[in-house]
Amino acid sequence: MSLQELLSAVAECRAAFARGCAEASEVRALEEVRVAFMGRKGQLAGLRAKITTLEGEERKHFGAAVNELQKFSQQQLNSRRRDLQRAAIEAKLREERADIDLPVIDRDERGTLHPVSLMRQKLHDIFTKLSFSVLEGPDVDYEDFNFNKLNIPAHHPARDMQDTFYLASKDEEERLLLRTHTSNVQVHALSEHRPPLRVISMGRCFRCDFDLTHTPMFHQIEGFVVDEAISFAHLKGTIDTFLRAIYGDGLRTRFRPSYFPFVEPGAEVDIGCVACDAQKLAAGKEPPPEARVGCRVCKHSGWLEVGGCGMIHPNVFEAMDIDSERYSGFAFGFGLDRMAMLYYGINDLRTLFAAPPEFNARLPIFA
Amino acid sequence: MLISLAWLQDYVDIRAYSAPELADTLTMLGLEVEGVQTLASIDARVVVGKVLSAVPHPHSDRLTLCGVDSGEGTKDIICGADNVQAGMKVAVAQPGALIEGRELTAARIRGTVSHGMICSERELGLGDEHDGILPLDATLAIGTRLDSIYPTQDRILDLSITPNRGDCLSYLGIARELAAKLQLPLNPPVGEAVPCAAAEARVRVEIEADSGCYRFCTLHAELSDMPESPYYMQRRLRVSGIRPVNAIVDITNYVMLEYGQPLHAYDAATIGGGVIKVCQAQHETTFTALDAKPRQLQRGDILVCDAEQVIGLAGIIGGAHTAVMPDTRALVIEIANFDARSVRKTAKRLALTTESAHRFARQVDAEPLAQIAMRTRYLLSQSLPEGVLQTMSEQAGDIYPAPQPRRKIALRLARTRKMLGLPALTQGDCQHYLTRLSFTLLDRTDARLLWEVPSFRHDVNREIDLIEEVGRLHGLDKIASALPLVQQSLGVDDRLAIFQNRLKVTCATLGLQETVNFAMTAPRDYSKLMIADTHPLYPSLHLHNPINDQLQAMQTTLLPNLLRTIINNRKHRHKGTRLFELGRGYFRADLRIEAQHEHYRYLQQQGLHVSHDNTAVRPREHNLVAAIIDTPYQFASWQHQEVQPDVYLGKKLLLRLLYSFGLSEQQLTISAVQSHDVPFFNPFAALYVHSDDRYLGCLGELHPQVLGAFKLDGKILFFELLSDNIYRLAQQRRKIGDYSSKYPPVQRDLAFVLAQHVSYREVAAALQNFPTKKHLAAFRLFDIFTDAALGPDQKSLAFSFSFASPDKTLTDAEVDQEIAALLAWLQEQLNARLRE
Repeated sequence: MSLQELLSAVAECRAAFARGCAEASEVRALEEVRVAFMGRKGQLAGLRAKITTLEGEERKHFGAAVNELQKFSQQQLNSRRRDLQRAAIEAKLREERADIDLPVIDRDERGTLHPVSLMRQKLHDIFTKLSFSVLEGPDVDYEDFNFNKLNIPAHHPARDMQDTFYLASKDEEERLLLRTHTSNVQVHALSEHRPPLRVISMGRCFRCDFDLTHTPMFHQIEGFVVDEAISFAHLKGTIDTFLRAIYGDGLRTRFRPSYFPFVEPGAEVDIGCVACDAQKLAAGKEPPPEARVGCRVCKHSGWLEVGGCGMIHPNVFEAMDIDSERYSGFAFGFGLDRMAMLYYGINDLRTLFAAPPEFNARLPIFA
Repeated sequence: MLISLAWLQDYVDIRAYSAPELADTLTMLGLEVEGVQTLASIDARVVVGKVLSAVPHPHSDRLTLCGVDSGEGTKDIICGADNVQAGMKVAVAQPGALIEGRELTAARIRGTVSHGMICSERELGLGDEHDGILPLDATLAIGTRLDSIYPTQDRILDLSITPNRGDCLSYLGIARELAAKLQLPLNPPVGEAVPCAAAEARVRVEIEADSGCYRFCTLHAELSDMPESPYYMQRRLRVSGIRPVNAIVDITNYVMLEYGQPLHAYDAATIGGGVIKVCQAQHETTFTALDAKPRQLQRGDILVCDAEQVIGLAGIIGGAHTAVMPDTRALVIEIANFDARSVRKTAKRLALTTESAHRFARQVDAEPLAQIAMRTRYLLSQSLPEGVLQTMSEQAGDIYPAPQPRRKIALRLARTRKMLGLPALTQGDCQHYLTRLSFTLLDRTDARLLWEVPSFRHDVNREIDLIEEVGRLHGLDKIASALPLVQQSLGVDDRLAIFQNRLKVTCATLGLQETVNFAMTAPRDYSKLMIADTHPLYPSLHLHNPINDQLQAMQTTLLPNLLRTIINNRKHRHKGTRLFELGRGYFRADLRIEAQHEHYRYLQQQGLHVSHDNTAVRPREHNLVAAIIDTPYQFASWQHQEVQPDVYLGKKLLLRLLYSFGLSEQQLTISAVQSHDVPFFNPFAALYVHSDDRYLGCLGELHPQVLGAFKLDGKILFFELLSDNIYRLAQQRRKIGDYSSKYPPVQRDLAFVLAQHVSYREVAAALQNFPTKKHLAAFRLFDIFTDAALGPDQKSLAFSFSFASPDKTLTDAEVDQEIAALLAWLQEQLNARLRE
């Protein structure tokens, strides 16, 4: 046969092999194709035997073509074999395939944190970045720590602002009570550490009040800074910073004069209603002033009261033997339950105490 | 405090401001407006009409068919009131008028069309009266619009006044604040009484020294009748939240609302001995007040007495016996000042919350009493129908033993700037603000201003109070925000808080849900938990004023409230609850710990969160972490059968928790609980965890008897740990060291047969302490098996052993040799034999 004929036989063989590989639908069929082409008596061997029938350049040329065919066939074969093996395994796996939609976790199996704990995580992170220390204080305390040293002497009308749980005791002088605010930590910290100080404290508080919007136990965050040149501007700066870190940069805040005997000047802090302000921000425009007032959450005032604050009263410093001329400071107290409720859109305070599993299961572990 | 803007207008001209603007101004002055109510005017279609005829409705016993002329001819109107009569002038609402929010239409009632309605006081918004229609003055012209007779359009502000601002519990106080902020002139109430015959002073006043009465003014008057007060006065009182009674009581209340000074009127004829004495109660007596309730008086209460008896509880409430009644003709009006603290104490003890006590408890200004007496004279002369006022004191009787000098306070500019963070504030600003607030400048130097405090500002006592006033008038909203520079003597110490959060996260990662319960508890729940009242865990801190039975005492363990949650969830058909809680246990400092409860000695320490200062008698608070798991732990699912929360599951969770804080197996000791110490556990499925001698906590299945007491079934697992002790251990630095194993271990599985009573602890100890141990690296129990074939009371434990050497791969011979030695040791120690 001429070189031309031999080369076209190679091409034919190549095409036939490729076809054979492709048509083999399982490993055994592929083996048959291999034997037919590449076996000792296969087509490839037949072609190889023809090499010796040629001479010189033609022989070289044809030899190269046969070698190339051999290489090609081997690759084809390997690749096809891998595919067929995989297909065979997967066919078996398909039989045992997992239904990935099946339920695997029960509602009660989800570990969750309480909304107040989640809010505490956020506050902890913010305030430690601002170099605050985090202290805790006793829940059961003396009248002295909860009231007297905070410029609230006995029979002060301000005591009516906080209905207090007292402990049953014979001792009339040193009465024990459940702290009505976390401000007792101010007294503990200031009587043990000297300024400069910056501290937050979060924990339980108690007041005898139990209705739709009050629980006998609730949570507060207390914060205070005492140093030589602390002003009301610093109070505003600190509160604005932490509230915006939680509720968003666009948050409006309002400091409204008010009265807490242990601070002066004292103020209540309002934030722009997180429910209606959020809608406004989403719309990307400032509505006319009358439209600003109008949502159930803020009782149509546009503002939500979230805490109290002020400059620490000189009487408080003096009660703790701190020079009130040299040092000034600010303090604030916010309701953690309310902050968490506003953040997570919880409307019913009772949900926060002994909550049903249906509620718990919606919560995450990290704020 | 309810403030009518129409009334407030008398003292400050606020017509240029809308109600929301005024509300906002007051709120930003610290006088919080909690609500604004709009009182609409009477509809223009309500006019004066005359009832020309009134006959019974032909088809009703109750209704009257009236022919009414309201200026457009006679029309039929059906009326249900009993007091309707021919000839009366009445208020007629014509069809289309809005009455109580609804539009009136001509309606057919029992076959007859009614062309409108005759209105009652309530329907017009003039008062509460709804028993009959409102009779009008017979001289009024038919067709006159009612809103021209009764101007009712008004806005009412609901103010929440903080306890330091007693001076703002009055119209004048509010007007003063608005005038100061809005820079408007203040128009205090005035009035020259019309001349009247002088009244004779029927009673003499005596104030006992140290009685707590600082001033006592009296006015006398005689009347020929006891009429009602004028309409405007009744209306103003009503919208301010006070019920009109009669002219005299109304005038005293009106003056009280104007000035914030409570007044009291006595029927002079009932005052015995012609004397009023103010003194302190010397012994316990009973007193019957205006509300007819007898009350027990105590030493120290300030009393107003006549020659025979107590006629008033000073500053709080008058006596029933001397009250002004419809037949009262001679009056003594008291305008006095009493000690705030005493009034507050008495009122609080007797739970009397009168308008008067509320004001006196917040301190009332004693200075303007003479002026207030003049105002009262004016109102008496103006408000009674002609001829009723017979005589009246020309001058108020006035006993004022010790007028207080006004306080003088210096205000330093530098200090003011520093406190408020207003570096650009000038002395001129301060002077402007304080002058507007009625402070008087006495002296000025470059560094300070010396001020005299107005007599009504009891809350201003030192420089900081003046600074607050400057800040308030300047506006706190105008102070720029700034962050303070960091200076901190404590360093940033937040380890305890970080730990607590990690503890929560760890529990949650174990698949538990955090819950928060009140820290109060019911002692009866402890009895059900079989905790006797002599047990250290029985609540020892009781509340003096608990809010209900369930919240009587401070909890000592989180179990009762967690169990209540489980019970509640089960009630809602929800099983399988798994909760954890971080809370505290609270104990008396002098808690008695009997010798048999030595275990609880740790309760005498204090929790970590209470700093060291504190007195030895301060109650102890222990930080706890507890978990409760209801049955089933896992419901039966397509993957597995129902899983019960047993002690093994609990132990696994507990160890995972402790390991995550770096506590090692070697550090922990597990032991059986003492039943009398932890009586609520099944003693055979419960354990203590200690680390060295430090108690960490306990875990177990609740005792079936406890479950029975709470009417529960199925297993409930509980554990509680002293989180402070875990914190202490977690803070310790631990060395982990290196571990590398170049040579693979040899594994051998062996089963031993030994006596049933030998505990795993003994087996593990024997394996660990195996004296000739050279290569035994680890062992794992993989099966426990009992069968009669093993012999009576025998069991088989199957272990997978792993032998390794750091220097070489062990040969079979070496391993066999070690196993032979191990078998001999187990035989010797536990009488164990290899199971063939």
